[in-house]
Amino acid sequence: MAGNASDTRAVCPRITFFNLFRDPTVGRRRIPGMEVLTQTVERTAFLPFGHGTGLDTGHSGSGGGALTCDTWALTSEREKGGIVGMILDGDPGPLNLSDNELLMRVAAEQDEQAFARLFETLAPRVKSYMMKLGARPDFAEEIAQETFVTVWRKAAQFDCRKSSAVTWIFTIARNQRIDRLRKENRPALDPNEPMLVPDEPLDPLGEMEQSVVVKHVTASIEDLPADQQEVIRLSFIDGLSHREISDRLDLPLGTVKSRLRLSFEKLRVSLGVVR
Amino acid sequence: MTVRHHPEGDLLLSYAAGSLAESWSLAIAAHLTHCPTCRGQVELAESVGGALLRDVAVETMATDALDRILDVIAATEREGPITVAAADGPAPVLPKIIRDYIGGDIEDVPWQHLGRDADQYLIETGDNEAQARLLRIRAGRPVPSHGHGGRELTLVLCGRFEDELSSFGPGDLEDVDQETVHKPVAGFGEDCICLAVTDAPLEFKELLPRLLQPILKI
Repeated sequence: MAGNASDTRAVCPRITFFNLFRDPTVGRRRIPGMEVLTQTVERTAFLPFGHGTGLDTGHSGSGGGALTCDTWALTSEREKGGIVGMILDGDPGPLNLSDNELLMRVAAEQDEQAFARLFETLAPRVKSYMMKLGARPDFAEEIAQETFVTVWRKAAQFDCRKSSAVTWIFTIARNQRIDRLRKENRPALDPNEPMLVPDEPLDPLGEMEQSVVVKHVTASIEDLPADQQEVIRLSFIDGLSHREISDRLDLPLGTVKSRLRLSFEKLRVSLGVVR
Repeated sequence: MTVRHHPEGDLLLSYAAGSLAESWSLAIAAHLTHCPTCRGQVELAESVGGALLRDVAVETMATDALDRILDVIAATEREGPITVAAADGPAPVLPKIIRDYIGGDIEDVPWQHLGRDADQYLIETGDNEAQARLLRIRAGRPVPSHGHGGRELTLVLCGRFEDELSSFGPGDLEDVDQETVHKPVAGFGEDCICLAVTDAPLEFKELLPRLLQPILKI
């Protein structure tokens, strides 16, 4: 039976897929509710529900039976070497949840499975982002790992009304990098600062809409004039200060300042619709 | 007390990117302590980082990365939600971010005299773009009239000052550039303590301060 994903979901509500098995020698990991693989898996891919990949539901226990619970093979991927799915008890698993929902599970339930899923999606991007900022691959890897340790440690501080998961993880990675560089200490506000003047009550509309902010931001950046996109990228992707941008582009500081200011002004206006 | 004077968007954006130089960042972070509005603006600017992070091409993580992280977090105590703890003893005058640089609160600052009406303390940072300093202006007294070779941010930490442009109280940040000549005067009643950040020497209009400038590094 190769029904579409939502059919499969209806038939097997408790199936969930893992792509934790990047390590070809796996067989060690302890995700709650699951005993892990002892067979070698050469390649993994992640296919969330909704991608329409057919499930071969007739293959319970296939794939060498190395899992202590039932294994399901994805027929379309099996030849390529090793997608594995498994049945979990009760919980449908976190795999079709948004990043925000995953992070909230990590916060509320210390859900390692949700954490692993977030890691799979975002750690490779944090590493890539750090490399764009000039970090060598091993340093970028370290920052990405440290970022996810911090995500686990501080998950309870994530406030989905104020930020989306990807933005929150961006700020953690940013701060990790700054802390690690140490050549310049870039002061950051401590959210536990006792002198902090409290926030105003949040607009209840804002609560729902954080998850879509990121998409709007991407579109809004693309709408900016080229010179304003450039200074945004130099700030965020190249990590350049005002003066460094001014040197790089051979522009007066005042011009750098006004381009940054205008770009932020425009982003604020275009995001006004979602904030 | 409501903050009325805020940093411009370029500073908030660059701060959110993590690329604003240290001295400017110090002024922005201290302003954010006072200003929920600008904290919201920084959160908005951070979503630019989130969007760029989402869009970036992926790099392969080390094969054992997740295993290593899971090992570390198994031995890691998790932090609770953000709580604003009531401070023990008398409330501090300076925000924590500045106290961390000084190693104490206002009474621990090793002031250096700037004439009869003002004192300064140069804050040591690792940044060569700008100089941060604490300024203490005696109640009711002026800072000599000056212009600017570059940008100057002045954040009021306690007391008030006014100049030709406006009046500034705790949390207010004045952002001036080459165009501006001003003569700040501290409010009556209490000394005004500010964090001032400059990326070029001030240009004093009177002779005596000009002569003292190289000695005082202002």
